[in-house]
Amino acid sequence: MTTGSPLARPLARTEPGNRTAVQLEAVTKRFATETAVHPLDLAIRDGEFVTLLGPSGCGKTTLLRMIAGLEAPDDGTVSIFGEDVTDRPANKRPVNLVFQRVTLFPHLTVAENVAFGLRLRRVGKRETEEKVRAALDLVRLPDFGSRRITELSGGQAQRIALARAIANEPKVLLLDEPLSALDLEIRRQLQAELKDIHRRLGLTFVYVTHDQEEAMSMSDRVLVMRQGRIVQAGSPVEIYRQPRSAFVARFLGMSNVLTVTVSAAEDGWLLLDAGDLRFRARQPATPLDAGQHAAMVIRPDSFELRALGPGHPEGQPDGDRRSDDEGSPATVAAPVTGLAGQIQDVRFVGSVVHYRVHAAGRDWQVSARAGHEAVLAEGTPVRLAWRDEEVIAMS
Amino acid sequence: MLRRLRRRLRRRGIGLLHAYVALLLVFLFLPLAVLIVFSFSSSGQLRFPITGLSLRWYREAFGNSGVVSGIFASLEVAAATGIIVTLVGTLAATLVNRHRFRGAGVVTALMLAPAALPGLVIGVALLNFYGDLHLTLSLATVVVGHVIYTLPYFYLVLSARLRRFDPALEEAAADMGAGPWQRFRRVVAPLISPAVIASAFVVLALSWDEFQVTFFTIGDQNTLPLVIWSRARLSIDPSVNAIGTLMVAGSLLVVLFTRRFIADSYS
Repeated sequence: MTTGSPLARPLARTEPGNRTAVQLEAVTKRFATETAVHPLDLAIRDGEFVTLLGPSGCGKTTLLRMIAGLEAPDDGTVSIFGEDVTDRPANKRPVNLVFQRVTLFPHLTVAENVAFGLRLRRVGKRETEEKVRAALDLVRLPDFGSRRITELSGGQAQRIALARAIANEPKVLLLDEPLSALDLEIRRQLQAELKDIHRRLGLTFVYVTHDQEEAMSMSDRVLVMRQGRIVQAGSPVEIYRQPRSAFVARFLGMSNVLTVTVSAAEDGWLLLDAGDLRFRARQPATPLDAGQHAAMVIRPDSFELRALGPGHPEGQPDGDRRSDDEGSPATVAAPVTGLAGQIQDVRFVGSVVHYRVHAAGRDWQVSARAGHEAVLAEGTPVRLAWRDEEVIAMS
Repeated sequence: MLRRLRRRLRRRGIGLLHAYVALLLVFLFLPLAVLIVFSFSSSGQLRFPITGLSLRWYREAFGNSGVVSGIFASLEVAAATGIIVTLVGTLAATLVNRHRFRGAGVVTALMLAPAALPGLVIGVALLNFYGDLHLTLSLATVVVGHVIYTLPYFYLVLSARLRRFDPALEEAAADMGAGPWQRFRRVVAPLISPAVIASAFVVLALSWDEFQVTFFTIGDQNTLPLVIWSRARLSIDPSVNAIGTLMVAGSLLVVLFTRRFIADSYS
């Protein structure tokens, strides 16, 4: 498992400390017939914003609930700031969880909900009031104290749930898809606010989501999970630039994922066969061997797109014809560095234009900066080019 | 043309429906109305039209020691039944609905079974049972019968509420630091208490006018329904109307109270 390089970390914020906030060792969870979490080790640093990302049923929520104490691991240990809490119930762990569904207590007011944990700990009245006010300020609902829970909208309810958890002063804040039931607009807004709250409090956040954009935009480190295992861990940039498997690439919403066979591997370079196309790519961090089945990605923004004149011999709708930039005749063995094709679809979204280009018998997603260049029309014959360095090989 | 015909038919259909509902209500409530009207009559003759209004029969009913002791006996039985059923029923419904265990379905079926049995059968069975144990019949033996008879209703009403209880609320309370007892006291109890109180009132209403089970299990102290029955059997005594009217009023109050509680519950 690779850990996030400090350089990939977003700048201008308090750096996570060196202490370990959450430590999982060989943690395992089995349900009746299946294993939800395979023996898993994980260390989360103090102040880090870590996201467990994966499709439903990948074990991310189970993992989070084991940290919270709402689920007991079958094996392994859970430690929080060096203390083994494996056998402690949820109410005796210094962590708090924001649930996916609204779990505010309907018989209490907003302020009473936020004060719930403080009252249990018999914190003084004045101190409780101050902390409740601070928490409500933090979630930007300062005047909501006397409201009833039934009067809140979905977004407000999750803000109050967040305030309730924060007011309890946990050492680690756990969030189980807290935004998934909300409208896109409110979700975006709360994502930004969550990130801001994380920065201001310097608290360790462990966040669970199936939304890759959410994971990428908020986290210091993303752990991609699949079938009870962490399949890749790293900063959002690392994961985006170097997905280690086709699963991760696809889950991150990457297009242009091709299944390939490694036909040669030498000097840090690979030759990849995808049907009758051959690509040249750098050897990834986990090396691939010749003969191995693998996958590759060319990111939509890695392409160079150029319109071909209508009379150009390559500008035929059938882009299956192989060519390369040097203009030398194509041979079956030589890797391609360019394809001729035709634009099938154009989506202009302001700063970027997304094209769907049909070439070599398949569709390619291409994004180009809108800049000052002309937006190409549907049906335009084009030429796709890329550098070999931009071809990402993976298992 | 056709539309107008259809509209007229529909209007007539609605008219018929209104008439049907009105008839049904008359059928349901006419005997009660007669009872109430006669309870305020000044004469002893049960004949229309009544000749004058008076509270004579109420005075007479309350002047009768049998009626008064019957009221107290009924109150005692209802109160004891209410308390026992509330404790036992809350525990049982909570266990079955919130901690799904093996055989929970069987327990529920057994809990509900007495509601399907005729009161007569419960009464006779209990009488035999008490006889075998050589127990002296008393109000206590009546209470046992009433507990058996009313528990299913309590269980049913409370289970309906508990099934809507989100277990995540308890998890949230635990996460906030509440231990098992605090979770019950601060979250579960306040949320289910309206349903518990409503169910308890249903039990009170059922026990207050229960006759069949009581008839077989009563000792020498009669409850109000048995006082009325024994008096009505001998002669048509207009004071029975007064007692009956009071019972109706009491039941009505309980029902209204219960409705308020159900409407106020959080859900």
